[in-house]
Amino acid sequence: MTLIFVLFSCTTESPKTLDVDSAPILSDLDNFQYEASIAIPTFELTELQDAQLNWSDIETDLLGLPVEASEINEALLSVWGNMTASELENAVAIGQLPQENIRLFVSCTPQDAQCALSDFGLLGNDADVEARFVIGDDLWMLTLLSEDSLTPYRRIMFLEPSETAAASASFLPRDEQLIIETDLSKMTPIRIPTGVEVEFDWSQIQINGNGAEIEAYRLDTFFIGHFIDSDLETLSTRFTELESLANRLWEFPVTEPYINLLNTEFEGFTTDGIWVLGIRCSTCYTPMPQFLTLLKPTDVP
Amino acid sequence: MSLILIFACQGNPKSETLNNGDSNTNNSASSLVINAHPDMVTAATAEWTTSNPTQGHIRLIRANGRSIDFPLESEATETHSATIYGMTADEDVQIQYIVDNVALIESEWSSSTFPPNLPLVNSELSTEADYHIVAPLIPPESSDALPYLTVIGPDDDIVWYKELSFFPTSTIESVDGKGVWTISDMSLHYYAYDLSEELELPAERAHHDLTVVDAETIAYLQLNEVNINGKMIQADAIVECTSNGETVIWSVTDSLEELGISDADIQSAPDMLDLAHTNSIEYVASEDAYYINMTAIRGVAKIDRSSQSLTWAYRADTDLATLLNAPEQPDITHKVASISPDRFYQFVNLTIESNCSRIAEVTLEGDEALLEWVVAPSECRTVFALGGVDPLAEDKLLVFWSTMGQIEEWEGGSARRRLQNDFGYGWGYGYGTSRFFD
Repeated sequence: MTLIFVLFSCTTESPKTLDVDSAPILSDLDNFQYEASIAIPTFELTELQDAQLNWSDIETDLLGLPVEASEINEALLSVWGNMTASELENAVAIGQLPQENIRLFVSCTPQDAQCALSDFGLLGNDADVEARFVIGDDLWMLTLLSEDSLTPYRRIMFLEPSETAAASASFLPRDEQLIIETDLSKMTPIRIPTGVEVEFDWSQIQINGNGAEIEAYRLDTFFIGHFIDSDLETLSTRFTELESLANRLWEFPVTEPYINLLNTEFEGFTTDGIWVLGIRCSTCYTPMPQFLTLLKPTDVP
Repeated sequence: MSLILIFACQGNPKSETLNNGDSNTNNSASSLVINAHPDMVTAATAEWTTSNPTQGHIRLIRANGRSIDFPLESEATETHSATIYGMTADEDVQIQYIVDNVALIESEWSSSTFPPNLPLVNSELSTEADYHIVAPLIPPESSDALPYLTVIGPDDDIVWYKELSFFPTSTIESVDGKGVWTISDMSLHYYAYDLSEELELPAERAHHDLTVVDAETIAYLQLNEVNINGKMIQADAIVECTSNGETVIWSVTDSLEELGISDADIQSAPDMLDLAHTNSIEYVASEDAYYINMTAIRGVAKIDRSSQSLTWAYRADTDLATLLNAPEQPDITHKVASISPDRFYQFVNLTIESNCSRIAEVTLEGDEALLEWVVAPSECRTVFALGGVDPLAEDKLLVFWSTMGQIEEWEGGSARRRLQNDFGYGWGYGYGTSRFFD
């Protein structure tokens, strides 16, 4: 199945300022907006029996980006109660998983791109998962993880205990579960001077692009991307590939809610191409930047 | 994912001498020099001098108006220093040096921002509290997140934390109330609340829980490999640990018959099975006894420390005892907290009949055990691992719904206070304390 992520365009209708500002204070009005949804495929398996879960054929992750089965170094099996599948899908899509609904959370280190239900455990202890795998209202969610991934999960499926005779489930090779749409072309860029003498202050931002509150202390990466070969339409439709589409990318660890580029390795804004400023939270359960805006470098006499 | 620690800024302390030339003592004090503590952005070190030897104490006035007095200095001196803790992140506080009820000097200071992966604790249900909660925060095994010891203040904010390199399943307060002990699979660790001291005692194969016996002795649960009639199994033991070494007080293998574990059970078990699997321990000084929970056999045992022998044990599924008036039979259980001899609270993760977690009060009367639910949320909750309970004053209970990420205070059958952490962390066994600033 496909995932549908609809990113709405920023609603700012007028420029924040027509003046070039070498020390802009970023606000929520400068942030992009999006809406996210996800559809997770369901595979039925025989209840109360062990089963093999396999991903040897996967070619793309839930963003549609290439991934090899050998990159998956962890499989997580979580069980969720008191919520519907659509509620859980929405929680996954926006990165707001409700811990109080967790019924089980066990992991497996895979062998040959697969794990059996009986392989999952908790801190080295057998959780007797297959004995808990019974028909009921709980939602069983299998997620695949890899190191250094933009997304917290590479692929996801629901497992449904049933009376069927199925004893295995396999991920499809390609399944773009998470779709992100945004229209960056409708954003109003912040005018800044060319060069490196620019300071950004994001101490005022509070809301991310999905309308959720930003936990400011978790922002850990500030980046600037320079795009020469891509237009705004391309960046909007291939939003999750920003890092790879960028002709130049500078990333800086966040230690304060501001940055003076003069003191960094940044090489300077130029008037060509598209400039994007983003702030990420690597420990948040979402691949989306918490803040993203466009910049318009302008020569100042 | 990379983790970026935000280091503390020094803040901009603005100090003021309040009592230069006090008429009684003729004391004056120089500026308070305050720096963020290198190990905790919400603690500070302070240094100051007085014109004459003085013996006073630090008073911390928090942003919420709460005033906290730190202990009196041990002796009169002209050169002073103190570690000030108990603030939350990004908090503006006042710090005073008090001598004979007079503030000689004061300074303003701001704490810094938490490390980015320290989960926030949100208050969902709040009531006036007069105690601190000490508890470990355990990240998922597969994540890059870090484990922490945390202290949550009466106003539901984290006021102390310690980043750890191991998974701490349990905490217990030291005898003097000045710090916290926790456990890894290789050692026992002590951290003073005032950050003045850290200790590590070797404790190989430690697991799940530890308890404080006296100022010198910590006991913990140890998992051993044993050979019984040619069959290798795992068996738990109570081990006491001091700076001089370890002593095994009791082992499951000492009481197999009393625990209803037969040789047939052992021989038919899978290799290296932990037949009893103890997962909580509490030392009760007034009884000089240990209470241990054994989830694999759905039982609890009381061990007399001086004789190193089993006083009693019950199992829910054998003839050793029968649970009477139990609405549901416990299946998976964790923390046990004694109330009085032969009566205790027990965290029940799952029952045979349902997957709902509750707190039971169990009373042993002769050969019988009676169980009733004292914490039974109307909605079914499931805690699949750990799960703690700690009795507070006035018949209140602190409940650690570990893998749900919740801590609640219960009184009279209902929750009065609820803390919920951000997704991804579970709580280990914790406790409530009124001695955080002793």
